[in-house]
Amino acid sequence: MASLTQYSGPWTRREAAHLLRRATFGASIAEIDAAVKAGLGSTIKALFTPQPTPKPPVNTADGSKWIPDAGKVWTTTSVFADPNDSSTSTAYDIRKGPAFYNGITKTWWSQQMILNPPSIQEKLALFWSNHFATEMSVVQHSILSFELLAYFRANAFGSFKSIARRVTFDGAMLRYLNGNVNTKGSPNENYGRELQELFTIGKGPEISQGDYTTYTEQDVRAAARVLTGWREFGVRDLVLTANDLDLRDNLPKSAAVFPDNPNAVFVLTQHDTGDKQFSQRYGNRVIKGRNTVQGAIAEVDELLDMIFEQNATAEYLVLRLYRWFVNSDVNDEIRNDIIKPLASQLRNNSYNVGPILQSLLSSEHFFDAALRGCQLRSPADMVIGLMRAVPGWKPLIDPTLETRFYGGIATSLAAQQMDLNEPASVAGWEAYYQSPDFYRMWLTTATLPLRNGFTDALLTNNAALGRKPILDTVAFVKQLQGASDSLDMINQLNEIFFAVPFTESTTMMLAEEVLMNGGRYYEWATLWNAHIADPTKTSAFNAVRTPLDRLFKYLFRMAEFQLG
Amino acid sequence: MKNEPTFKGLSRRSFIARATGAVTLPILFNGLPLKAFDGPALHDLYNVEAETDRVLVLVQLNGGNDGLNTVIPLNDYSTYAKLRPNIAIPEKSALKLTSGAGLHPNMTGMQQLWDEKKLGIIQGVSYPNPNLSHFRSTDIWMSASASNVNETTGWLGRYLNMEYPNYPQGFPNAAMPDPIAIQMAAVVGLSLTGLEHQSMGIALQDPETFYRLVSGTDAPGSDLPSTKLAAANITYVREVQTKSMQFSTVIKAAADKAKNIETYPAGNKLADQLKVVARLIAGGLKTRVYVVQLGGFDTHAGQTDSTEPTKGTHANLLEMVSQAMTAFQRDIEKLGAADRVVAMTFSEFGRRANSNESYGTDHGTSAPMFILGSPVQEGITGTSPDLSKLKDDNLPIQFDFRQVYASILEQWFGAKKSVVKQVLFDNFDTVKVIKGQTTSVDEAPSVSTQVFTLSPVAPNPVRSDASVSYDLRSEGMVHLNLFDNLGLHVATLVAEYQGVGSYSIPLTASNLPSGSYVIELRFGNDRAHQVMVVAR
Repeated sequence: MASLTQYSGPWTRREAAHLLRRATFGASIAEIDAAVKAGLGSTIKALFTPQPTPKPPVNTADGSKWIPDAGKVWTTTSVFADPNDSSTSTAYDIRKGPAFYNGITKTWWSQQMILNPPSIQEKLALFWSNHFATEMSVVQHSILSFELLAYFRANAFGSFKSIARRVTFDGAMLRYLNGNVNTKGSPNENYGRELQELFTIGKGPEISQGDYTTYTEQDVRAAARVLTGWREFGVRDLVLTANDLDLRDNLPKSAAVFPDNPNAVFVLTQHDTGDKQFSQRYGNRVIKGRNTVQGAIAEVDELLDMIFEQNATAEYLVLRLYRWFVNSDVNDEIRNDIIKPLASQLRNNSYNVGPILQSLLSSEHFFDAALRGCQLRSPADMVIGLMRAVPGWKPLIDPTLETRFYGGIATSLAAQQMDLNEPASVAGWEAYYQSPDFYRMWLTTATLPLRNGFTDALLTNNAALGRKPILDTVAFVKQLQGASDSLDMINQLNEIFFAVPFTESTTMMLAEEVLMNGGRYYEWATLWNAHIADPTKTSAFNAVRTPLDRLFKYLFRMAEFQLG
Repeated sequence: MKNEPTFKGLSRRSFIARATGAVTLPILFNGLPLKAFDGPALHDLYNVEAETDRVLVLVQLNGGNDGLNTVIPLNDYSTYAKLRPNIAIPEKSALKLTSGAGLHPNMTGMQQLWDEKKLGIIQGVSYPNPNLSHFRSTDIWMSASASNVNETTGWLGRYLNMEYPNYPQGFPNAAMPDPIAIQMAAVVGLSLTGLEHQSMGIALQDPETFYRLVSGTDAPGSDLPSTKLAAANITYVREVQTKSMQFSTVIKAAADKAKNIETYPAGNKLADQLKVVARLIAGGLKTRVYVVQLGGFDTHAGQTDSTEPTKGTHANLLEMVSQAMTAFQRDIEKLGAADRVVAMTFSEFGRRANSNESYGTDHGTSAPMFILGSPVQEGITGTSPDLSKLKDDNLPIQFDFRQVYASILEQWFGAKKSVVKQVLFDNFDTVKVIKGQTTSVDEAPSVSTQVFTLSPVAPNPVRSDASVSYDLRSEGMVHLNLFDNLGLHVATLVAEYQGVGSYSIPLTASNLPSGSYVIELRFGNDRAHQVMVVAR
């Protein structure tokens, strides 16, 4: 039986690495060993400690600031001003366009994921950006997209309900799902539908036409009407309004700024003030139409209250989190023993996700040996995880080439089909919902060769690191104890990099056929000891470097390595 | 020859055969196995066209294409204009196909193909109890399931799996040395998921990169862990590894062999994919199905410009579709492959009949499908939507999309009705999608063995020259193939559309090793066989 009881079994590198692989993207030997020493409880606590807010990205071309200061209501004159006008403090250069700034965001985000201390916050920021999916290239507003991401990071283990509320009024989302054109004369159903189908209550089986068990087509239409009149503050596309210094002039005069969120405004004349009748799925609820801004906010809050009163909403989010952190297969046992108890815990904790994730990630079920390796690494697990696991390159980086270096990481992720904040659709990345393949969606004949290309490149000289490789295999192996024993070394590498143990025959094959290139496994000791005896001697260094490079290249190309 | 029949559309292949008076047969050198010479190298050696079976190119328009602004209902223009006053295409701008239907003004290429009788349109395609979710409806179209069934295999995957059982075990092999299906994307969609949930296709973006990246791959093989889930994942990744390696060489070779002749429009994502597809087809891949896609059809807002309804997002998309598909058709015509390629579009749903105030349309139900290619039955099947019969602002359904699938499987791939029933879980009435083919709603019975006879090979056994004779009492596509006793394909003797008459095909066997061979005549859904023995 799957159990949420706190895990109390062995606590070794293997268990610690498993936790860090899932809760973060991946960990270095030092971080794994620190977790082993600290124990499960303290490691969990550290992973859930809020991290300081990182500095927002600057224009990498000239170092200028383009994200307004936190807490400041940005105005069109200060942010979207002519960059040549020295009287303004921030310089969002409208001539460069959103693609330029979105690229900066992706580079910056890759850098955060690689450099920040081990924390579940980064992985949750990615989770939320996938759950409440927007595509930056569709939103076409780099500041709004960045601010939403910053919100996700800052509130990563906060309340699901608060996040849903923020997203409902968010400028990027109002753009993405056509809230901006949701008017009383012609309600646009896009957000009203996805709010229910994908973001909160989730779509159940369609038991009769238009009735999806959890909600109906009637509810889609009613929700769209509740949400009429909300607009993103700027509304017009930045590129199109290059000469409009005060975008507010373009808005109807009845527009009212929504007090809790500087990105949203309310246009009363576009709001449907009629009563909204929901289906029996929501107990035939009627949300009364109002004709003031405060009334309209109350209408949205009633809509969210109504959705969040349903058990299905908590269960849906827990299911999404379970697929993100644990496993794609959810049978009745998992539903009853894991999903439902966590869902009820979520409801009882004002929808705060931190506590339930702590329960899940320290449970017996999470550490169940049968579930190890049940995921395939996502591109972020693969790319970011590796960069974190082999941190020896960090001091070598040339600051003048840093942007290109981290930009390359973002490009690798995109090529492997995880373009940051550009999920495949509003449903997010297919690996987290597409049955029956799930994580297998990441790995195809098109993407697997790219992964091989990425890991091969770790071993080649990199211009940004002073022509040194990202992974110095000799230095890496020196961190291990007993590296002169090839079998022990391979087993340690397995604990660090792999979700499942090698069998004895695989370990032997790796030692003799790969590392020693046909020699015997014990001959490694002679080579290694000669290098340790005189680390400055080039021939002895090369004698260990070549076999180790060959071993690492092979390890990273093994099918086993793709397991997360 | 007995009676010289009149030939319809003499292909280059049959021209070579007739002009030289003998069929150019692949022959074996010094007992080297046929397999070693199969594939592009063999065809280079003998300067014959690649043997490729019929190809289906599936064009997916993601997001739900607005059918009413694609094929404009001129039969009831005033109701149309009333339903969508802010985005209606002006009546005089529509490219008139018939008195009742016209194409969007940006689809001039498709209009030309219509004039050349290479375009078929099936109106009002959807399914009972339509689902308005992008994801669910896409799954329904790809899996060909009823809307209340969650089917996890794909329609083409099931069909191809029946044609190629046990895949991927034993593949590639001499009979199918190439990927069975290719999706021009980073991932393979549900359409191609086979009966065992294996993907029957491979994902491919760019042949050159694909080759470069996989050519250095070792094939890691080692034993499996005892835990079931991990072992299944490892097995899966190894299959992907193996497939990437096996196919990289053949794909690169095919891509290198053929060059596009037609110029494709630049900056057109669909054209970029079709360009590679044309090269791979002409380069000799035996791949049966290609899947390409174009996104952006979810036009809730700004579907048209606010001032000019013939311009805007949707107009640009349709222009891309029309230009890309026209260039593709022209290219494969010039590359000599037009008789074996058919392309078909689909989208997860159409859009509402009425527009919204944001110059867009919300999710709807039925929409037209385009079927394009030289072998395609031209014309419009069904009628322009009856705008007086809307239900919740949605258009009525005229055809179930599974009727179209059944028609393609039967008429294009020659699948038997029993197979089609297994693939689609039910019997569906077919519509005419391929020229010269019958449908279940036609009066005439389906093609039977009575329509053609294949005479015994004479002389038999054969030492050097022989001839294969057959009679056709109905016109249609004829495939006459020679197989060895292992079932491996040795030569194509005929592959063309032929008229009623008696045919005698000369065959030079002097270079064939001794042994027994099988001659197969395939006509419509039926096949006939004769055994030939080569003895010296």
